[in-house]
Amino acid sequence: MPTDRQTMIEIRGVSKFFGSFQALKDISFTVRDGEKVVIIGPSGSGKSTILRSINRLESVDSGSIIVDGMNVNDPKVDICKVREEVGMVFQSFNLFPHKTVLENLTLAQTVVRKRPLHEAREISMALLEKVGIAEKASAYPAKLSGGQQQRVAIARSLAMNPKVILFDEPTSALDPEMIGEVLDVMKTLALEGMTMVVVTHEMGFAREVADRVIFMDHGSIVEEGTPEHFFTAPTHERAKLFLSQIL
Amino acid sequence: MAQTPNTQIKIEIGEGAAIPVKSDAGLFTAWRIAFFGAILTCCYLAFVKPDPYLEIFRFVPDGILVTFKVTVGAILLASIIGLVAGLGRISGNRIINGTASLYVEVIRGIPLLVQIFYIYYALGRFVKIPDMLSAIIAMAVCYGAYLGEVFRAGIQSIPKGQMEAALSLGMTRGQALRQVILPQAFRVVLPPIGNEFIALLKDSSLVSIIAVSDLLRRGREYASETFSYFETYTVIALIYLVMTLFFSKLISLMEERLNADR
Amino acid sequence: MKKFRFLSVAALLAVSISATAMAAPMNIKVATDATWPPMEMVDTHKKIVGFDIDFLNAVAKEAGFTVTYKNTAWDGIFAGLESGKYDAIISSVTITAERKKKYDFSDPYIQIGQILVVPKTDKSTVTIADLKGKQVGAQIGTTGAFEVKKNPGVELKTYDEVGLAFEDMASGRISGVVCDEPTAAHFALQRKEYSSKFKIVGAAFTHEGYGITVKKGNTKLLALLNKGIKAVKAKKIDEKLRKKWLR
Repeated sequence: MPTDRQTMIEIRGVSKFFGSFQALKDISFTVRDGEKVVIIGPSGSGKSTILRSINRLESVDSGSIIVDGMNVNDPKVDICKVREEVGMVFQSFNLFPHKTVLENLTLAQTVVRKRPLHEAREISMALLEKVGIAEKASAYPAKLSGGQQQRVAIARSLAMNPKVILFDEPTSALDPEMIGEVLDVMKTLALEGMTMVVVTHEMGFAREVADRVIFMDHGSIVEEGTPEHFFTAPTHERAKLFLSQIL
Repeated sequence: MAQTPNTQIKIEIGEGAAIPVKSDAGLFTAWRIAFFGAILTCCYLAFVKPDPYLEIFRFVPDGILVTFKVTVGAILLASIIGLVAGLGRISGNRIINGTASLYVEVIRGIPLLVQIFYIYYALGRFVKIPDMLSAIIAMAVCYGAYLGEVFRAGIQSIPKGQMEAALSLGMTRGQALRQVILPQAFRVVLPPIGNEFIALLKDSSLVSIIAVSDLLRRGREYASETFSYFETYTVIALIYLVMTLFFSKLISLMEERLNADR
Repeated sequence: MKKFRFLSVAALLAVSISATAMAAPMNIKVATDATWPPMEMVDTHKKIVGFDIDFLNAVAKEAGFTVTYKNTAWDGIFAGLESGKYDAIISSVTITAERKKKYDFSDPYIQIGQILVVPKTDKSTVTIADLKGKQVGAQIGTTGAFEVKKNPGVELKTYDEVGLAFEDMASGRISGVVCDEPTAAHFALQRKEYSSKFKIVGAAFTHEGYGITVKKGNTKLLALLNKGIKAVKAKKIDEKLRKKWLR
């Protein structure tokens, strides 16, 4: 990776407690523009929590998170402005069930970006085409398969032209035969140069797409490096153990 | 599919008349028997014994209109109050939350009849409120507390992910509520609101106490003049029955239409 | 000594006999709507008092029966008589042709008329007809209410208690109240909170006799009541009660 690229996300010394349980312990890492970072680790390791901290769906107790130059936890910063630039894809899709697929895509464009409806529709249809689901534009989400719903969710976040997209275990709720179609869409995005932070258990995807892999356990970053390094010669015992269990 | 809330959550409040559902065959027939039976009985009585029945039917129609106006006015106002109270009850702001909770607790602890007296006569000393309006306000203030709880439950029944998804798209909390949460919550709360509407229609008879010339008061006036208590209250009861059954049917039709797209 | 003992036994016997004779008088249950001062009302000791009460007590004494009062809402007081909840009503009941068709009445025990009360600010009104297009209040099912109804264009508003009608006039919702003259005098002249607000206009415009109401065909009770009323009038007790209650 060329190092002259601009820093997109900078996380410094972040800690978070749920009551007396420390979910995040002094986490620091940066994501540069165009970089694809995959965070892996056992469940309960804090990987989803740190991801959700980036657009302040979770608040943190100490440390700082800077996204595109904006301090996420600064009360003076309009968090909505941060979120406009940071797309998010959830494990459970979270499509709006009372809106059609097309309306799911146009809603935030018109309400937040203030785009005229016809323009938002054009953009949306192009994105639905891209994720291969244009024919379902007028269907309600309940009529779609899980894989289709997740592709719509990705298109929905793309419609806001985000500078970075966060993926929170995007394939974990899917039936195995639908995982591929979602990963394919994500790979396309990666090839187009989208900045991505992905929490996943899909090691194949990590290996193929990631510029960097971060391994977390018990709220700390245990190992960080290129996929080649991580998957072939992990230095840390816990990383070795995790890989032996999952591969 | 998994996040469609409405199939899993059902809020049951058993104050109103039972709302007929197609799948519930027994109730559906009971509704028919009661509804058409009441209408036929009315016709029969008016035809066979026009004195006093036909006289009564001639005397009370403006009362039916008043009952209808009070009920519809109160349910509209109560929905607004209830929505504000419901949102207040889930607010993170302690003052707003406390105020909304206090309102719900206080109102639910005072009998409706007492509230009606209070708003009409006690407050009448300080502010002049026309009688119909004060009846509507009294009913709405009371039912707003109940509807507030319905709205709160309805909003809370929407999965957290919906709010998160809306926020992560850059919407403000207000935009997320208006565009995403409330439209979904509305479907969840429609059946219990329909129930409250029926209950409110019946409770509206209490406003006859503050000299609002509703259906019951018209009946009482007729009876007190002619001494035909039995005949008058038979008619009054039948008319209330037809009204509640009519509205419960209307509400069940509305529900069917709302759920047509799923 | 012996004789004395005999005498005392005889005295004891006599007392006990007369005691049983005293317990024998018929007790009649009488309903009254004690919201119609000064004819019948509840005093601060929760006791039912008023002209009617004193009068009937005097009648009972003369005719040799006892009375139990039952405070009953006016709206339904006749229905209760029909269903046998009590034997008679003394509650400022005007003897009308309509009522006579359904119930029997004692001889009239007092003559009284309906009168109009309006706010002091109303300088022009003299009769009910002057209040065309306005609301006039009366207690439900009273001759006052029937009188208001006779005036086309005047809207009758009925109340469960006449006091509520006066309260409604005090808050400006209605323009007049029609009720019995003594009651009007009580509310408009004697009550501190109203005497500065209300005035009686014109003279009584009806001439009505109050009677004690019994179930149709209850001639036995009727005879007893009429006997008592005759005796009370002969002794001019009613004159005394008029002075006490009506002034």
